[in-house]
Amino acid sequence: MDLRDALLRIYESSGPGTAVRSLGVVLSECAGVGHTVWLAPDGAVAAVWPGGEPLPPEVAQAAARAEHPGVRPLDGDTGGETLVLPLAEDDGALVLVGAAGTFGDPAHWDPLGAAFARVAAQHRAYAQVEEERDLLRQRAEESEALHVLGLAANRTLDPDEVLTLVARFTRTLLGAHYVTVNTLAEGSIRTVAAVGLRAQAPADDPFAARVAAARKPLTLQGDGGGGAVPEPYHTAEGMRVGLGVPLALFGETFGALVIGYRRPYDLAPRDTRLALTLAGHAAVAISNARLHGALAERTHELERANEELRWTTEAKDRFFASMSHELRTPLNSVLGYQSLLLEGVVGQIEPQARSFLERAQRSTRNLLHLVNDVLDLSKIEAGKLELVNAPMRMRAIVEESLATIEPLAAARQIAVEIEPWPPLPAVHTDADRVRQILINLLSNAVKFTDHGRVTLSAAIVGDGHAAGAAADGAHGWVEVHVADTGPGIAPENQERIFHEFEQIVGATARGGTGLGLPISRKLARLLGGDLTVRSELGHGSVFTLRLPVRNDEPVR
Amino acid sequence: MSLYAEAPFVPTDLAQAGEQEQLGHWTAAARLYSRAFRSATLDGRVEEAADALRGQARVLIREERYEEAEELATLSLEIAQRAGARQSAARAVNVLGIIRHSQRDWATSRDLFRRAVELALDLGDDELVGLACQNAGVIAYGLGDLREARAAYLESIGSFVRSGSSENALHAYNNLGIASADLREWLEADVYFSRGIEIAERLSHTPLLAKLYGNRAEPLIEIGDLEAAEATIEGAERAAAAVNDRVALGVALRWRAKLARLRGDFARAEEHVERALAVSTDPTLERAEILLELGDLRAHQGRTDAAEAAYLLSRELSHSLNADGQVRELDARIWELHHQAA
Repeated sequence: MDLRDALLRIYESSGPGTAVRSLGVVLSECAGVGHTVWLAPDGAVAAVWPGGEPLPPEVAQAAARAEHPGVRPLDGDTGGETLVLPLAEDDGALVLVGAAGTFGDPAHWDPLGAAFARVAAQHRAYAQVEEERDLLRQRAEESEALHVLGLAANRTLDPDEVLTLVARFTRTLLGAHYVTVNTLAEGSIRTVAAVGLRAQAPADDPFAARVAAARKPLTLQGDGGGGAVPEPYHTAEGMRVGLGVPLALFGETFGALVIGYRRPYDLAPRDTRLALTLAGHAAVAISNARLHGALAERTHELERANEELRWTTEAKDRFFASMSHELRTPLNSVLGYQSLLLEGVVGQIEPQARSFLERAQRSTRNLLHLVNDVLDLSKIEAGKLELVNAPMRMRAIVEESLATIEPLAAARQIAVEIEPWPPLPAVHTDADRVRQILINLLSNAVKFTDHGRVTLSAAIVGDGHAAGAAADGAHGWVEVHVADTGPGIAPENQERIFHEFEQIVGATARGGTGLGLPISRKLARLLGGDLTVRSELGHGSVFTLRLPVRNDEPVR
Repeated sequence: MSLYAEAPFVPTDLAQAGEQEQLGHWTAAARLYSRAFRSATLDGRVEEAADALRGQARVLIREERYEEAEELATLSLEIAQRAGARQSAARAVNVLGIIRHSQRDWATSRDLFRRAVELALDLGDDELVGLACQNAGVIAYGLGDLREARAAYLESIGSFVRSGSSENALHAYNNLGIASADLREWLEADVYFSRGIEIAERLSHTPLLAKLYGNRAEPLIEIGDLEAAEATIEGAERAAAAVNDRVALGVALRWRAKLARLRGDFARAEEHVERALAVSTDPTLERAEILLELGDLRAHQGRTDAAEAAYLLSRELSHSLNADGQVRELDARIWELHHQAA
């Protein structure tokens, strides 16, 4: 017989099973072969054409173990024979059954066995690829499922909900009967979430404690594969096989995830791998909950401290406002009587007494200034300073301020001059407060200047018409500069002078409360502007009061 | 790995019945299950007989013949237990749970699903664990406990991944997406529907693909990714047309209407919503949602009376379908209409 057709059928087949069928059809038609049989290594019939059990079991077993091709008599009575073609060790053998004399020389059939072995090998390789593909797909499915769990778990900060979710998911992904999540706290371990338990969760699970202490996965197996596990609690739960993995994050072990099977079960590396990943989710949930708890406590503490601070600040403001007011009244009275005495209302006074009285009056005035400053500061800080804004001319305020300071300047023989004044837009502001700032700046300038002069100048910044140059509807700035030829201020002190009760070395000798500049800056900022200083030691200082102007204010 | 996995498959009546059931051919499935039961009984294949009875019960549930279904499922359980066929018995318990659920007996149904899970875990039947968990999720969802539903669906995904039953996982992802969308967890819902779409495409499961594409439109619209929403609606329309699924087509048109409304194209929105109502004529939750969209459209057009009329129709239908969550949403819409008018 020409085997080419049979070989072609074998090569065209998708695997050994179909090859047997295809080959059987050809051989039964062309070669008088009654049955084509593929035997497994144990002699079981894996596939047969056209069906039935053509070989006695002992013959089949012998054929499956055969190492060389050969023709053997099948049955003495029928005169039939078999052609046995051994395949690879795991593939068994191909057996053809025919009448006596059907096969002749076994060597004639060798190509058939070789072809079948090749198909079997191909099929084996294909099956291996399929197996690997399925494994990869399963890994991908697992990753996706874990990702999905992560998404759901991230939806809540409630640790009970997250841990129960993790426990439930662990149970199904690992096909277990029950799962417990156990956390370490103050030296003991307790179950914080569980699913599938028959009894109450254990108060203290020694197995979970061992896993946490070991910081690695541990297993529990019943004796003889099907017996109870050597842990009373889990024995009571009916555990046959158990797996525990540590809950760890950033090197810290929080507890253990325990997985229990009530049936015999072969733990696979996959189970441990998945359990460790799921334990990671639980550890993150516990860590998040702890951090959240700590954060909430800290926030609460800060809120409490803030509330205390607010209360203290309010109390301080109330105290200053009240005390300032209470002090001002008697001080005004003292000043009034001092003036009356100095004016000789009650008769002439001795020169020495007058001198003492004048000193007392100066001290009283200083004290009144201090009280007024404290009152202003407390009002500003309490947000109770009311501004009365109206359009006003800066030049007029400057002149009024200058007039106030002139006696002091004359006494100290310091010239105070206004430099050429540019046209300025009207400033919508509180004139009294601007005047207060300028008087403070001028009096400081005069007090700190021993030689030279004090000058006042003004400028528009941002042209007063440049859109967007200032905030809140303002479109530019008017600046008033108060420059002196005093000793100047060291760079490290240029910010300190704006802090309450801060006076730089030597300043106290010149009088003042240390509140003038802080109050002036706060007022300037309340008016929407600022107060800044530029200075160089030995070269005087320039204080700049900046106030916002709108571009629709008329220029004056 | 073994070569012997390739043993030739001879389709039995039972297997063929299962295929027909999958295709929704209830009459053919019932006939084949009946034949499978007879032959299995005659040949003494007790477990197969119990399986055939259970299959018949499932078909009867589809036909809303719950009492007969319960009789057969109970008989199936009885036979399986007597024969020691534990897996078959566990599956019968699950089917009994489905019957109770269909009869709105939530408590018994939930207990039966729990029992099915325990039995399945004893057997290591992960697919059944997943099915019973999923069924428990459906009950929780129906009762408005969305977080419990989400947890149960996640459990079922765990089991389906373990058992490698992708088709069941597909349903679980769809359900999970729906629960998350109801929880207004839009990003998550999008992920779940996307995952379902991936699996459905791999399995060429066009009927569910139509639903998944349609369901994904809502989270995408809520996220504000209108282009992606349009693409997923197109996918839903294609898949729905391929399997002639009028309900899925109605859902897709509903989302088209919403997209048009959000873009201010009320005429186009009107066109889509009318088409949606024309194709989705059965009294389903999907039709109730289309009516809700009609109400939203009317409200945006400033036609308060017409909006209220549409909401009321939707409410009536939702109420008849026991969709309590939907009824609450509609009540809120109607209250808002009155509040705005006042």
